[in-house]
Amino acid sequence: MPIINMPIDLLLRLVNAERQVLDGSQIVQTLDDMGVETEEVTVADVFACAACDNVMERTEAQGPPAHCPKCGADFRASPAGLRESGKAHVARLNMLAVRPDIFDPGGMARYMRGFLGVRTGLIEYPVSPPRITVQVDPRLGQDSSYRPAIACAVLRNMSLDHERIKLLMNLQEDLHWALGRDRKLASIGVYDLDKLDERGPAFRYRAVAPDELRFVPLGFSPSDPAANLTPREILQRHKTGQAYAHLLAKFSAFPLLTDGRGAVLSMPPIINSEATRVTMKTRQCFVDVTGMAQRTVDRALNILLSGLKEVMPGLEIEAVRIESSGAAIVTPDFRPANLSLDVPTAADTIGAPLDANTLTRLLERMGHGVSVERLAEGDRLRVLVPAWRNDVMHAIDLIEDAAIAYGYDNLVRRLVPTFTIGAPRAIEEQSIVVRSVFTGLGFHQVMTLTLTSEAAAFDEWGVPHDPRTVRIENPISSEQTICRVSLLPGLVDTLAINKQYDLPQHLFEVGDCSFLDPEAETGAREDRYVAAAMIGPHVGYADIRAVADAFFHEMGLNLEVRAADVPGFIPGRAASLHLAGEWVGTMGELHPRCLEAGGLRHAVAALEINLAAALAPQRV
Amino acid sequence: MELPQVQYEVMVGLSSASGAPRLPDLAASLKRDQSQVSAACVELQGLGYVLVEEAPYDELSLGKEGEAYVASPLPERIVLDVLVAQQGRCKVTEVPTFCALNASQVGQSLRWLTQRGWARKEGDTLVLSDAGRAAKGHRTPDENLLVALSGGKPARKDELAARGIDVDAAVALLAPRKGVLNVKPRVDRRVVLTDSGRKLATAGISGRRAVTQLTPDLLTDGAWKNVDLQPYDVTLAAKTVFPGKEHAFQRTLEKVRRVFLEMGFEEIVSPWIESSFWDFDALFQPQDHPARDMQDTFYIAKPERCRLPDEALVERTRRTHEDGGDTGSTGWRYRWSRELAQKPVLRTHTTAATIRALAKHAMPNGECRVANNELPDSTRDQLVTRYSSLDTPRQRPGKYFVIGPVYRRETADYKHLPMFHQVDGIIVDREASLATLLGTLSAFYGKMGFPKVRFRPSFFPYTEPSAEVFLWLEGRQEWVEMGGSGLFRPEVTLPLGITDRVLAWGLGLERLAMMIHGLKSIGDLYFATMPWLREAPLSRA
Repeated sequence: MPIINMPIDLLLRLVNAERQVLDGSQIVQTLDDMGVETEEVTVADVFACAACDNVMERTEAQGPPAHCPKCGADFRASPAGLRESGKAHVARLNMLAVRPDIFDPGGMARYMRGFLGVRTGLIEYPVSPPRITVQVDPRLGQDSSYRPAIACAVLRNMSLDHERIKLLMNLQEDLHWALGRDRKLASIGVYDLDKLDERGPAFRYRAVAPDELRFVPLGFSPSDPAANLTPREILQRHKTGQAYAHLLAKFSAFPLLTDGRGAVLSMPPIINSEATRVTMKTRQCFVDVTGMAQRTVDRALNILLSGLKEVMPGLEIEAVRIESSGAAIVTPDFRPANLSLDVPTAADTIGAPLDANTLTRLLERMGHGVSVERLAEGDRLRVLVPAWRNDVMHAIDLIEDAAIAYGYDNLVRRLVPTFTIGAPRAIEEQSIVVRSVFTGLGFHQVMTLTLTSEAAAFDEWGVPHDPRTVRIENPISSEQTICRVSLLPGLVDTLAINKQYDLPQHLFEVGDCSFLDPEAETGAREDRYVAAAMIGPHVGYADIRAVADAFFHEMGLNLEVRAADVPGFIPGRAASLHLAGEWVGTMGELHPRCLEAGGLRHAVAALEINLAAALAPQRV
Repeated sequence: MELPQVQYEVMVGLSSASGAPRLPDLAASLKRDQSQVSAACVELQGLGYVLVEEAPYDELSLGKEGEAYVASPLPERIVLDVLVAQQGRCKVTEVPTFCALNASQVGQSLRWLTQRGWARKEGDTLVLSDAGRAAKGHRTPDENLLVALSGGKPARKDELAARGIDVDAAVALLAPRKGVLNVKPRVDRRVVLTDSGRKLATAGISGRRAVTQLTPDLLTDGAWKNVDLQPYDVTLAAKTVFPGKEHAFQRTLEKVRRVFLEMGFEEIVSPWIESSFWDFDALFQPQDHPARDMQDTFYIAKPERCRLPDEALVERTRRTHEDGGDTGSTGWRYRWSRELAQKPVLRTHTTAATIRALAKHAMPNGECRVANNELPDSTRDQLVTRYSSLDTPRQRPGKYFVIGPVYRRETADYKHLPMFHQVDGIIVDREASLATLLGTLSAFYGKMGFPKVRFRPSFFPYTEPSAEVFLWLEGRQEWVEMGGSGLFRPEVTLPLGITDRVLAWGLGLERLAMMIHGLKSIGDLYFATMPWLREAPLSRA
């Protein structure tokens, strides 16, 4: 989950625009009731990138940024590239990826105004008819390229200042993360429309060969001849190009957005051109979202536009016509989704006595348009869901919205009235007895990680690799590459970290080991084991033999001990344990090699028993 | 004859003593504790060898005011001296000019002057009497007693009398004065040999051995009766020992388990190595969900692939992901892959166990894998309606819980390890609701010793509505997050054939255990030191 710095003063200004409903002291509790977690309320330093004007907020704990996430400028190499530009009072919010529509102050203010009852129901934003057309190259849908989906809009009558540029850039970054999966599924570009030819031929979203043409990427100087790069060169030389090169690695043709005269807007999803850069002087913008699916790019565009409109009420949103293989669509598409909600289902699911009218008010506070249908079988609600909500897939999502508006704290907590009888698992009850035997013998239980490595489990012990070992494909540490097949190495590790403490030490563990099992649905299974180890100046085979005898006596089983060569144990001081002829475990004195591995300086006697086998139902 | 050591010493001491020594003197002469000697004397008296004579006496000591009269004479004595010096007459009001008394002290002294007959009042003048003249220079008995008791040491009344003090008269005089004199009744115990005691002592006695360790020898033939078991200083610290113990975390896990069993839940289990199908797909987590990234989830190289459950269920799951299938959902709108569903992972949550239990629960015979078993009434409308309404025939209710390890691809630090434990639970019930979810979890944590529980709206891909669970920590005065909960989405339950609502939760257990056992790092649980294993008190669970 990302932390988003929400500018508190702006948020309050937007929420309270119509009438005063919220003051700073209530903000955290209100957010909490709305399902938004506040990490802290703090003052952040604001920084600006000298190369691209990108604005970044950092708390004192975070420190200044090391590089610009927008143009890739390296501030450690050239500190002059980073300007300090004041302080901001922010709430650091831990946001859920499913609600990108409330990542920005505009969207959050809209949600809060509804939640607090100031402006409820479906909000509609006017959109002017399209003047610009974008033609989509059919090659973008082929395997040699990718990123066929595009949605665009034009923003007119803009007035930008530092704060608004920062909002625009933050929202862009947050959408890249939440909807775009770091630009993979969707990426957004915003351009100064006055630098483009909007009255000429249609804009083009095309697929180009890696070295087909050149342009100056954002952050590079147009006066520098060496800054005029081909797409391939951008991936090699530009910081942002390098960072996102993997997104284009598999393809022979790269996406490129140009105006009708061929002036480059951007190379999605990598970088914009320097020529179209948005500045505080920008009065009108062209916006595009490109990606893998139309639904995703539409959502991202809707969220961006609706959020900006909340912050800049004078903003005029103009549609763009997208032509692709003869078919045409118009974006942005602000048409709400239409869902039907059964009133009794909602009331029963929430567990509160809610009728159609109450539910209507609750859903309207969450920004939905609601009308009631009185049917013979009960009331139903027709719900219009805003086009910027990315998380409503089913009527059940509306029920949650209603529950949030109702307030979780207002629910009367109850229990289901159904009578049921508890039922333990046999192996767990047996494990309780096993643990009581060992604690009764003065042993202390340990719990160790179930993940280990081949080195720790086999090599250091000088025992052959168990062919039944489950292996991790993407381990995070060389110490955890497999699932354990024995509890003994973990016990010896525990002895090793306790070398400095009083002897003797008597430890045991009851836990599961994992084994490959072709019979099992998942290809592996777990068996319950117990292992015990004793270390001390006078410890020997006889001690662990006594423990084994005591254990099997207490479990009511007739133990048969056979001399055996067990890897990891001293030859001649090891035995296998059998019940009615079947192997169930081993015991003995550990081989000095195993002790050396843990740096142990005293003899260790140990046993390990497969409880799944020893306590199988036919025996106990 | 052989006697216990102290009794023997008492007998010897009494034989050589003249008369009947007092008990404290006897103990001092034997260099023994008075309580020991007293006990021995009582024993010996029981045997008829000694007689303990008890003589009551009064013990006198000065009170707080008494010490003041030792420092300066009684006020009436001071006034007497003034009268003598003033030729037998003095105005009452003038007395303070001739002595250190103030007017009020002079006033108080008048009572005693008249009572003793040393002076009388004539109008405003004090006149010395003959008795007063005679008293000049002679101490009265009470004055003598004050002097005798000065220095704060108590004294016996009979001893004071022996020193020539008329104690009775002195006590009578001082008694009306508050806080001057304390009189305590005491008993004097003196010990004397009886005739048979003297005979025994003359016949010859010996003391008994003092013994430290009670041995089998002493116990077999009753020899312990003839030895003294040496007393110890029982307040000295002993060697520290601890019982063998279950791991503190195990005790917490066991308590969690007991609470769910008490609440009527059935315990379940599922493999640690799990198919992506049960860990993610069955829970409606899209195959491109970030939680399924190699970044966050441990994938398994061996085994290479898992088997999928029966085809009908796989097909319903595929359709639910792609376009919602029969669940009334829009679905995630992407192409679902069987291969990805077959990839084994280390289970990322114990919800993999509860969803398996739910699948099994849905089957009429409780069997999870039923080949090609189409759901009854599996048309979209019917399922959606059945999910919606309470009027449909109720399904079998069920309550299941699982406790076990789960795995996330996290770098180890004081809060995180790649493995931790969860308790997951589900309730399948027609009357399941958000309100009963909050009630169930409040009841669980109440039983665990945390009466204050809060819920915050949240989001999980497989529950809706969803709630995060917080406990109030009295010690830290803050809310601490414990895990997630919610009602399984229809996209999760309907493909399994479950039309009742299902409550579900997954709660972390390490953090709970660290709070209960006062640990700072999660590593303290898994890389435990002997001192902690030994010392962590059993009463905490």
